[in-house]
Amino acid sequence: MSDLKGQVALITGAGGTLGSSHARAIAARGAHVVIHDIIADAADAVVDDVVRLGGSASPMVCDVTDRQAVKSCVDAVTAEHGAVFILNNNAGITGNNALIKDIDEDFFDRMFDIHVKGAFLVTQEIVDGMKAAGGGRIVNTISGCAHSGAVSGSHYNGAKGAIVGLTRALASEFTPFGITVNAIAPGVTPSGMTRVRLGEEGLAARAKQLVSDRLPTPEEITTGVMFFLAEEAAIVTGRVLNMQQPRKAEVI
Amino acid sequence: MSTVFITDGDRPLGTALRESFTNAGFDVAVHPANGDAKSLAAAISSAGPVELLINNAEPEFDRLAFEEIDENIFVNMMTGVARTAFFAVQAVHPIMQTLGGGKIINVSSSAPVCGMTGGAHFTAAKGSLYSFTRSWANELATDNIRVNLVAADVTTGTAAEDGGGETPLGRPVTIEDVVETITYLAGSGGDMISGQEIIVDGGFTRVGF
Ligand SMILES: NC(=O)c1ccc[n+]([C@@H]2O[C@H](COP(=O)([O-])OP(=O)(O)OC[C@H]3O[C@@H](n4cnc5c(N)ncnc54)[C@H](O)[C@@H]3O)[C@@H](O)[C@H]2O)c1
Repeated sequence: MSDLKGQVALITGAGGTLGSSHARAIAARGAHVVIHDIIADAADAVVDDVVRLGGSASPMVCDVTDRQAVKSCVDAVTAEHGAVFILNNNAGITGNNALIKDIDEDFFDRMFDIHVKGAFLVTQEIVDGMKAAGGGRIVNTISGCAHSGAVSGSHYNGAKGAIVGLTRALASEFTPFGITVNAIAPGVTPSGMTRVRLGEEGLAARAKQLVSDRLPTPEEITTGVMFFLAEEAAIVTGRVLNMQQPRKAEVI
Repeated sequence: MSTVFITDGDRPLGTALRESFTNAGFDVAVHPANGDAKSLAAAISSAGPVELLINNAEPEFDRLAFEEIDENIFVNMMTGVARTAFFAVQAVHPIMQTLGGGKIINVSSSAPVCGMTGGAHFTAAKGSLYSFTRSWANELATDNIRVNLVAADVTTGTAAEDGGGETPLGRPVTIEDVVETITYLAGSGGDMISGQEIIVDGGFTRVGF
């Protein structure tokens, strides 16, 4: 399928596990994918991977919390490739299962800056171009924990909840411009971040709590993103797709 | 005498809550919703036995197109609502542990549920409270701390207000309506309720959505 041919997609934090999976899938549908990350090597590796698979990609390296850096990167991308049609706000850091008593001001601020202010800034920088081009698709990556309240760090969950609010507000506001704004809420998926938070043993234990006895692959989470990108999904907006799996009844 | 601690205690809802809990015989302490962790911790530790914390940041804000919201406005809104609530809970947690339990009520809005044109900053900030509520209910349950959310669609810009203040129940929501809901959760009726949200909107949220 090449239904996204000629479109530009920007995925923040695409040097990581989920973002790189989304990037491969979107590139396979014909879009040029801008692989953003704060770590240049991570972005470059994913660009190489996408190109090796026959797709088109370029790196973008900056900190999503830095307005000037985001602005100059987005300006450069737009000048070279045209307006961004697909934005996935995916960059994030782990809450590391921290309890509220152990979360200091720095950790709290970093969490809200990267997740909430980051999504706010990147969206602001791309939205004019998206409006001018006549539409677009914004998919924010939140987390199942924002719904379930599972302990992963309440600062992490709260930041993801803020992005739910942002998603719903912007869905109303951007509808007249042909832009949809939705979110996916993945359940625990083995990734850079969850390996740090849970370790291999912790991930295996999480799998055992599920009726399916297995965690999703990144590609299965990507399915959620692709749903919102479908041409036929133009009326779907302001929604959160919760991708958590059913848990075994005996697990509390 | 037990204490009720209210953030943003000087605006209309905060004032009404303060009067109501004072009349019911509680000591009431207040603190501005300024996100100042150290000052919140100092105020809460000297407030006496806080058995109820009401995170009531009720910021005034302008309805602004998304592109018009500058970084300062956005960050100030997040700080006032999310940072104030977070560090108030962090400070009150050990006190409630010592008391054998307590209650936390987060005052939010229907905007994070229904969306709100021109309110991206407000909706993001109030949205954090929905997830904080679920997370803290889970994390603090073993300390017998109950955490709930009341969405007060009265004075701030909300779905009900966008509907001209009309509600399906035939009259606008008043401050007293919200105070009553919070009082119910604070009383024994709320003892086995945690991690829940009640939107006091006269039925508005269920119309047309
Ligand atoms: N893996 C899961 O189980 C899971 C579940 C729910 C939600 N999520 C969310 O999915 C998203 C992707 O996470 P992942 O699991 O792929 O983890 P990951 O660690 O593999 O990827 C995250 C990427 O974000 C980048 N990043 C971090 N801070 C940044 C900053 N300031 N500026 C720019 N980039 C930055 C990192 O360098 C990394 O490459 C995150 O938002 C995460 O919260 C993941």
